[in-house]
Amino acid sequence: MGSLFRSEEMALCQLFLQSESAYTCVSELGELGLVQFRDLNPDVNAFQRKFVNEVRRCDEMERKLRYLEREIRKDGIPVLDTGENPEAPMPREMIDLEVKFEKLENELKEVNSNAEALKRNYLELTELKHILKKTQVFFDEALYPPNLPYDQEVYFDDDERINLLMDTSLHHLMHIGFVAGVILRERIPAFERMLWRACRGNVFLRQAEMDDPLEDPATGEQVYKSVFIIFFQGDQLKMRVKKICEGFRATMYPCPEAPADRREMAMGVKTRLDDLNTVLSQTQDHRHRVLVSAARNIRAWMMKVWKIKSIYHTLNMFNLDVIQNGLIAECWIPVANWEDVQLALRRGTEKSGSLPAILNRLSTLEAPPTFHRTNKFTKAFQNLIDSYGVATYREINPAPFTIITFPFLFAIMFGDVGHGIIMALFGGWMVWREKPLSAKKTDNEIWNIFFGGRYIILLMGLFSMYTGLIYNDVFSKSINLFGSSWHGAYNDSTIQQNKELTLDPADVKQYDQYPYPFGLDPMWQLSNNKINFYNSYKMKISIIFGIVHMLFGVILSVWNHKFFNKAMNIYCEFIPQIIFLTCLFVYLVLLVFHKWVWYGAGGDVSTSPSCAPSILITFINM
Amino acid sequence: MFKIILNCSCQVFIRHLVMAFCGYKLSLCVLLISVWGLFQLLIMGVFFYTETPAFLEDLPLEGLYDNAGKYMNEVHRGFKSNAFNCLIAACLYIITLGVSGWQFYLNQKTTYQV
Repeated sequence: MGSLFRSEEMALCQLFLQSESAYTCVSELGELGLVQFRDLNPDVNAFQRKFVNEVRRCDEMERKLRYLEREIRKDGIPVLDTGENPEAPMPREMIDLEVKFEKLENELKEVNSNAEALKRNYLELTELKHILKKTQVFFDEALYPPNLPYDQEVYFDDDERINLLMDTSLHHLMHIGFVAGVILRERIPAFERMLWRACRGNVFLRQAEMDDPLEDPATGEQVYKSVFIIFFQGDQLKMRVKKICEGFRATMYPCPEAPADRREMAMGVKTRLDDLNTVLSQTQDHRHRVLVSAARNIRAWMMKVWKIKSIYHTLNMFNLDVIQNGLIAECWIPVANWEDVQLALRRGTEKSGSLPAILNRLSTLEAPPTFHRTNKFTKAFQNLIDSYGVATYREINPAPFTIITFPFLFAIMFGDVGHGIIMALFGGWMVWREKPLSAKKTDNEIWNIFFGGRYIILLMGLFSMYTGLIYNDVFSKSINLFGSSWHGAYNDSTIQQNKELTLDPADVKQYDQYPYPFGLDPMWQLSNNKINFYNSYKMKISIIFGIVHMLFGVILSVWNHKFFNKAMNIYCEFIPQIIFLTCLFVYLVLLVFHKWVWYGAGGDVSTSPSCAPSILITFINM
Repeated sequence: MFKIILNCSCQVFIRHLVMAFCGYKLSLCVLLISVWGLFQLLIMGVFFYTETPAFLEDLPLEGLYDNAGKYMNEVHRGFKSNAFNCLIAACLYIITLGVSGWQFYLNQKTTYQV
């Protein structure tokens, strides 16, 4: 078995597959997940490959499944995800799946179109109902118009008061025709204006708004409409009015003149509406049932189709061997997994019952792919390193060192116990609830980033708690665990007369001559020169850590040079790098340590803090 | 008839009272903030009461004092008043914790009902 220290040794192999067993063998290798196939037909167009028809069929199935999924999501039905991993079905089962999906899709489409037709019908009947209700008012006003003088009355066709001897021409003049309909509320002003202009003010429009919004069957959104009725005289105006109504896409309804007829029609409409309601709800129920039964299996179907498609996609990369009626494939496999691949091939050929597949190792000068064997813990760190650049083949893998150095360097920058506890608890919760959280499968990208890095976050939190204790920082306040080494030994009059006082480390009364046991002394948080001290101290520590880290990286390259048998590199690359690093930066580190050790309070003036040389000036002056 | 209308509107009002007026995300957010607020303010209240020197900078003190006695009195008073302020704020957070917890519970119930 390989380790994380180096990438795995890879072997280029040639695979001879019989035509019958090719599908099952590729399926088994796919489940294994340890083989990388090379494309042996790179110049061939996607539409000229051997299995293009099967891939096309898989695309069709995928499209149908996506349509089903969209409908399921539209209805808000929860999709059951049992986490099962179904194996790729055999090619002959593909036809079964195709038929099943076709049936489901057709059924759904039929149900949807029926529902739409029913909704349209429902809409018309609702509009008619509203018309019949509202036009009652209009007709009452038309029958007894408020502005008509006393002696003149409006005559209708079957009015018994028509005198047989009366002038019928007058009667015809009095005959008013009408058109009733429904129009979108927004269009009413333009409609009115158009009618007025086109008919020269000779038509009379009454309109009333409908209170409830109606559902537009095509878009499904709620729109507000108004009922209108237009009174006119004569056929010319009637044609004109009808044309204008059609232009404004107002739906016209036949409304009977007599009130008795209208009442009858209203009754009829009401019963028809009730019937339609029942039919509509039954249609919706049927659709819901179909979708619920589909939702139970849709994940498994999706996975099966994906697997079939990927198998045929892989088969497209193979070469056809006409002589022995087989397929030739080239692939990279890790040498350590040779036996596993052989086993998988044997399983595949057993399933299809044909001659066994042959696995040949080839030798090549090409650079093999880099494969690191990771588990769920090291995977996150490996991804982190790969984002800077994938290591070359068989080079030392930086990832195992990153497991410690990355969280530690983060913690040096973070350095707070309280916030470190919160971070560690968050990481710990994600690690503890790993299985249920990973089964959730959300689309939320930010959550996926956090969850993928849960081990990194946990380690960063733990290391931050440690550096927080060293910096003596708990939510930006220091805690006094061991008793401070500094004491303010001034008398009251000095304290009262001075705004600021300095504590001298040389004075035994003010400084205990031994430091705080672990971390920074808590007295520093009350001092005014806290920043001066902290900045210089933390900067020097960061420089020391950085240079140690860089030195470590350079020293690791020795193992790489020895492994690749390039002794020349040790003399020409490694030695000059070390000389450069040491003479400049290790010298700087030594200067820092020397200044810390040699110069201090108490003792000779030449070693007192006032005589301590500046490291930067010394370094530049050399 | 008036009474019937009144009765109906009362029922609607009472049903609304038990309904969630916060959504799921808002109630969860306020719940977490209340938990942390309660925790932090309780600890800060205790620290102010026991007069830890770390919180010396957070006291409401003036710049200049005539004598040390007056200064020390002000310091002690400042500590006590800040401690009580923190504890009162912690009590307010208990109220928001209760309200948001109740809302969160209601939202959980409605999501389980299908």
